[in-house]
Amino acid sequence: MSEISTDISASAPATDSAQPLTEKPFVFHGEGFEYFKIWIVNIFLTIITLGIYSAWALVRSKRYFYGNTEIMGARFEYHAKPLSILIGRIIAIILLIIFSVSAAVPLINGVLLLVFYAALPWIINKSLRFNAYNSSYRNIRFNFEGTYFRAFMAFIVWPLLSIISLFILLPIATKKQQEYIVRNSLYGKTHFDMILPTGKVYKITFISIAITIVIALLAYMLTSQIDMGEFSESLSGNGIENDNSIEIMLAIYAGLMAFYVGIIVSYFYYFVAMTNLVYNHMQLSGNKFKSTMTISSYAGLVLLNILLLIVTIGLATPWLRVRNARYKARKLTLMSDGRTDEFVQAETSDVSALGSQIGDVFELGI
Amino acid sequence: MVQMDGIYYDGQSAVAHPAILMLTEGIATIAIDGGNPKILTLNVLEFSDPVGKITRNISWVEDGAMASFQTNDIAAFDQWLKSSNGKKTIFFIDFLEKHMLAVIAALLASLVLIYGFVAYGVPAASRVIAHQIPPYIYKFTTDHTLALLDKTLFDPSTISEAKQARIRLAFLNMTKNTDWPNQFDLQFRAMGAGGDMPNAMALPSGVVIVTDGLVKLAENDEEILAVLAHEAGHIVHRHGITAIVQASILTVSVTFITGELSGLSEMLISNSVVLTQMSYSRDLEKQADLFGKDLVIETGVGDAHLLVNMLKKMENYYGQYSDDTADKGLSDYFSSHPMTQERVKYLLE
Repeated sequence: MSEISTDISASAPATDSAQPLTEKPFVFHGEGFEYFKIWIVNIFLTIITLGIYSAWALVRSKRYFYGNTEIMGARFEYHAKPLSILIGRIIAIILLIIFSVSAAVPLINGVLLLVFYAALPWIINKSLRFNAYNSSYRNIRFNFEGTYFRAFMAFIVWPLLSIISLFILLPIATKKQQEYIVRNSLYGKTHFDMILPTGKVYKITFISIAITIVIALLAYMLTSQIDMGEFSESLSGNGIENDNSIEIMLAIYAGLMAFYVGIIVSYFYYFVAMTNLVYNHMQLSGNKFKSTMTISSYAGLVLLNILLLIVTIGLATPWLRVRNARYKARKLTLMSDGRTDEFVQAETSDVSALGSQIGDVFELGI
Repeated sequence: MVQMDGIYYDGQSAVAHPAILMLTEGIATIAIDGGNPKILTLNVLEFSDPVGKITRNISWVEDGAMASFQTNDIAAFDQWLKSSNGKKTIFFIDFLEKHMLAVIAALLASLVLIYGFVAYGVPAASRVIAHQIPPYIYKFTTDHTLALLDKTLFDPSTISEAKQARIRLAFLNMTKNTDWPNQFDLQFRAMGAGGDMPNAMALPSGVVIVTDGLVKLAENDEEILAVLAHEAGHIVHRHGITAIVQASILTVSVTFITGELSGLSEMLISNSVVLTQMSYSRDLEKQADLFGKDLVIETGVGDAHLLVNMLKKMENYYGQYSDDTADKGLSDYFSSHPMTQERVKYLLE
């Protein structure tokens, strides 16, 4: 991402063109062991309360991460009320159970699926709004004001169009979704803004597909060179002439592994490139962002995380979360126009956790 | 009395005002930008719950907005909160988090409880729930599954109608007194190249499928019935539905305990759920084996040797495709059926 600096000056709005931008780093102050203690007490209390405490645990965890993220001397804050999360979760689980049981009756299941898709834009909006509204910086709340129709276009119509077009329109669907989320987000009364260059979204998608194909082909060529027969003989210790099941199995394994490696590498590329693209085109009045993630640093982070998780049977989770937060903060910079004081609060209103928890339970991954 | 340096925000704008807050009995005094102090009564102030070393926050309603005072003087803030006797629960949690012994105790207790939950709680709860689900609900999934298997895996049976009817009658006779509210339904199908792959399976609504290969492998009807009795055990004990319920409970619990799932961690979690399911299903196989053994003995069909014979024959059949030890070790490692030797051992006990 060497063109960041040119991007920023090129897309600066005309009214603010005179403001020089200064770099303000995000800093994460959390520590692995400190969070480990919070995490393990959370788990313990969640278990002995049969899951009820999980809502309080979630809020405590989120407050730890928000409260340790600093920019320009001030920290973020998370305000959600655990009780509203608990109620949202209970309703969401009841809905999930109804949905699972209905799987036995295809007709009812089909109708419920339609209802779910019809409600999806609403759930997405509620979820984004709950998270945004319960976040604040300098005592000014974030917010999200998407409409049902626009969410319906971004999350139902565009994905459908992308399927109908045999995924030729997939990058546009991605662009519409990202823009929908960012453009309807607010800090106080001020809207975030973003227009993603369509050509670049296409380029990133094509490159990531190409990576998968190239690695799969390379791996196929390499594995077809190996004499599987000799390999299996050395494994079993005695040569068996008329048995080639091991060779076939090893070839299938090798091919599958290569395919997975291809997918993982292309996922790393896609995630890093898209994250950089989104942040580098996002702005908040005269302020811009600069994301400098690289594939090698991100792959190193994720692969070491997985290794740590496996070696510690999951006990390293708190350290991983801290590592992730520190990485994110280190790779993101605010390009401030110096007029931070001008942001003002919007009228307050209450926001229910229901949509957000339905989103979580159905793993929408918003 | 406690005094803290911090920042005051009026809740209307993002302007940061350096401020000093003083807390005394009943009254808070806040001096903003070095100006004249504001005086507030303590009961209008809302103190944030302390978490780790994050910035502490005191907020109150001012001109229709939530004003707030934020401080990094954690020691002073927490000291005041403790001495003012509020938020006892939070300080209990804070106490747990700050004492190594409590943390280690919480860790060990959690590990023991999670093990107990996964090893005993989940299977037991799933059994209870599975027995509450009325069997007619299974019919839809069973019909669907059978149609799918017919399309992909099965061919029509070549066993003669007369032989099918004879085995079916014997099977229904054998199972008529079992604790199962539905009808049993025995289906014959051919499977594998040449249609001689021996297999038998049970579907939740009471359908048992037996392949031509298995019928041919048996020396007599009794051996077939022994295998069918094992499958009936899966149905009577609701193993299919139990497995589905188990997977759901595990997934939801893991999600709630670990918090939000994302990307690769989700992959790890779903894999661990699958592995746990596999270890459960070994117990289920044993239960079905023992059920089948008892049923065969009670109904006078024969004894445990029938199933043992069939198991050995099936092992031989599948063994001819994987003669050498290296391969066998690999394929049996993740197998859901306990190894034949182990099954033979407990069947003949």
